[in-house]
Amino acid sequence: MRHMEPGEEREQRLIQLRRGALPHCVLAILADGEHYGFELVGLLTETYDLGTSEGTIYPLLSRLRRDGLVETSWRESESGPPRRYYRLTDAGRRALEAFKDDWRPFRDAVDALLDTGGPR
Amino acid sequence: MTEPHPLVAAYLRRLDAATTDLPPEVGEDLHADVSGHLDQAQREAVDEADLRTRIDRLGPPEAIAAEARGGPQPAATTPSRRAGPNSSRRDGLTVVLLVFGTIIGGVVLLPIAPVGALLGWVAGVVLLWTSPSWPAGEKVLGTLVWPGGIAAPLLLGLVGGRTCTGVTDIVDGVEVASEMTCEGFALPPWLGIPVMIAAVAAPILVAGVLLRRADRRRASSPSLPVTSR
Repeated sequence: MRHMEPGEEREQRLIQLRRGALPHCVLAILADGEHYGFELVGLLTETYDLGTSEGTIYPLLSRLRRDGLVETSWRESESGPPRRYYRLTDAGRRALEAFKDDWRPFRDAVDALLDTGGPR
Repeated sequence: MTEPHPLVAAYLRRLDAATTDLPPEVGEDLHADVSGHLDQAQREAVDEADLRTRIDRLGPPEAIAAEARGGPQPAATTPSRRAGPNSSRRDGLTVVLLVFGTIIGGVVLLPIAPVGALLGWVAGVVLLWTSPSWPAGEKVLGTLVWPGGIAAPLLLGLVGGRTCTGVTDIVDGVEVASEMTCEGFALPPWLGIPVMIAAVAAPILVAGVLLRRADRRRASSPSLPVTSR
């Protein structure tokens, strides 16, 4: 266990960076099709390496659901208990599109600023 | 469901303890998703050390609860409240019809048409199978234990002497009442009475299980009143 070493500070910084984007990353993954929690968590942390703690994705899913951006249905699985599948609602699709419109100019602006070092 | 490994059970207990101050539907959401996650992790884990690693990757349950208390707020546009008290009321009606539908249908419709008694239960089955609240396995369970609800064991003549008076009141004036007279059964009372009690209790137990599961899964919003808890 490290205590406020550079690694720990980096982790805090990444948490701050992820906060605004992560909900919309979930929406983006669900835009291509429905997934159950375990799958979704695997995609976010392994395939896309967003490096978030796996457990914190579940409160996020719960909130997205209460906000009506995703909806769920229980489905039997071949092995084990029924699984809860998440899928995007129309409101979720609109929220994702709105985020894309905001994100790209924001990202470009930050990139441009970081590359040039800003106006001197 | 796989029997939870002690590490998994301990984690879920900690999660439940950490979420007691949250709205019940949030705690239930988290419990359902995290227990599903851990169930799969347990089945994929090659040994206990591997399972421990997988549990560690989830992070501490207290962190999950903290995140639920004040994490990122997504920009919600127009929320659509799909499930709520309405689906709860519908689920309640479903199980009432499954258990008592034959009796209700019998009292209301039997004087008009002989098949009337079945309609109440059939309506319950239709509601059950068209509901999003239960997966197929639970729908089969709700349908098969028993067809006709508690009327089925009563009609099969399993009624023991002491229980029939109360029942006769409910089905007053209905053809089946003659079956309810408390005599002449295939099983001796020492066997017949427990069997009858079990046969009547089974659909009520199944109804309770169905309601509980639906309740746990129900998406409800914080602005809506939380029912039955």
